Amino acid sequence: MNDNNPVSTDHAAWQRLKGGDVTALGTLYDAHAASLLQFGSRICHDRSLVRDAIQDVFVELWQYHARLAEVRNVRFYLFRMLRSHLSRHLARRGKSVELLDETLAGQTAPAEDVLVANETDELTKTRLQATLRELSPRQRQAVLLRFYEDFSYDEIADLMGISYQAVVNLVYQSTRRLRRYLPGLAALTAAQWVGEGLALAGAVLAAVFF
Amino acid sequence: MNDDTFSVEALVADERFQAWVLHPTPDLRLFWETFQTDHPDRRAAVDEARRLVQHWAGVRPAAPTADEVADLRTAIFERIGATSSDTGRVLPFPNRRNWLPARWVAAASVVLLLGLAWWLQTPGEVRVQTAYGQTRTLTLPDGSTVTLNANSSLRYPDNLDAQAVRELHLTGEAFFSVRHTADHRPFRVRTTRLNVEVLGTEFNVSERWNRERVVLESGKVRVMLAGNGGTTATLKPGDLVELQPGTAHLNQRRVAPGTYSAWRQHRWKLQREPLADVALRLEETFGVRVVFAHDTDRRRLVSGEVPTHDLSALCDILGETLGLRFVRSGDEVRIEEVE
Repeated sequence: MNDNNPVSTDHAAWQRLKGGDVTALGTLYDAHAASLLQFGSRICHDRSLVRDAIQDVFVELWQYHARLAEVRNVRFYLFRMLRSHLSRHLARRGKSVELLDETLAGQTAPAEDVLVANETDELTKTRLQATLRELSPRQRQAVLLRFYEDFSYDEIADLMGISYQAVVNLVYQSTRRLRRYLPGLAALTAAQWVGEGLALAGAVLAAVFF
Repeated sequence: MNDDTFSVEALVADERFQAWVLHPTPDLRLFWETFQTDHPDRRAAVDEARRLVQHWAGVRPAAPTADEVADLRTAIFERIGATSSDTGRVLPFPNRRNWLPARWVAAASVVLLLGLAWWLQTPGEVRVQTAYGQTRTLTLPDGSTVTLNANSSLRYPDNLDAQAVRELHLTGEAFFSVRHTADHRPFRVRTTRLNVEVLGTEFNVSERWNRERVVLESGKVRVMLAGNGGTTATLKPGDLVELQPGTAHLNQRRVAPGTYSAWRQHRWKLQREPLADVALRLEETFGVRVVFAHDTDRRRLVSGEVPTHDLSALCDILGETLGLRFVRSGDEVRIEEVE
């Protein structure tokens, strides 16, 4: 979830952009550039192509600012634009976004591709990192779009060009892998549950005695 | 309910479940508390699924560098005809043609080892030369600026701004910021075998060592093989064109543009560069002789960003990174194996 991305700021910038205010373009760029670079790089491993496509997105926004539609989710719209520009760049080279993703499927991501925040336990952190490296590019894309970018499954299905159910399946499969890497978690949870159960039994006993 | 409907994985993959963990609302809370009351055997699964959702929510893709984001921003605003720092104003061109910039800025860096023939200065000509380890930025008569890298030389007529074609000769390496003229006079940089002509916004041309090399940062340039009307290449941003010694073929590929002009910030961005080339860079930039004392693999690839203000410090960093010793004595740097 990106904290620096309130929908209202996007919406205000979008209106200013439609009115011909070029500073709004900068506002939108600053809010979304990093995410667009990350998203694009997960589709296409040629970083300079991703940068070109992002340039095209913003140049096009400015060229057609007077004719821009009302958009409910600006961020989603930008991601979609990037995807279609990338497809166009790749098509020129005889590749498609989907095909490229497939060719990447056998590769593991570089370790620095994903980071783990908010984990205090080093072991859990290490295992989570390992899980992420093991995920296929599509699984990683689905997980990051859902949990980091906070897109809905419907939006993710659109961005990835797959069905709603396929997105659910990707998250399901990723979670299955994660569970395999974090076996301690299940045991811990079960123990806690037993503990809670005992506490509850104690409370019942207390009620009987008084 | 079959068993999988409420398996841990199925819960984690359920949008409503995720929403309850990450952005709870009274409705969601009621729904999932009711669910647990109705399915007491699923409480453990719910607990584990909650935790897994929280684990997923802690995952972040690596952030791009601030440099990359800033450079891309600059490139975008130059393409639409505003400067990045200028974005506090509304553009003076409200129509749809406004991406044609008012002032074309071009940047090029060119290195060259050969062609000492035109070194002799003729009347009416300006020659600027940099020493080893020194860079220098100067403003040309037409308002363009040039940053010369170490051990480089630039020649141009002193009435450059009055010439129909602004033509400069370069030996070594330089980065050009070219000012567009009202009457669209061409700006051309010549090296021994290449002519580089500025066509649009911003570009970066570079030739190194025995290869002559042009890298376009943004905008448009055309590269022509000197004395050969046929061979030309038009570059798009991020394109690199290279001429290998002994060939007449312009080799074109795509690169990360900033890599080839990092020297202006007194840095080298090495991307899978063979050790032999790093040694050449040292020789070219600092005027030292690099000697391999042992049978070190010169094809070994070196990646990373290093500051180049100071040769001794650079030698230390390179040595430490590569697990080698870069021993400096006078005008010589010896690369030694540690053992």
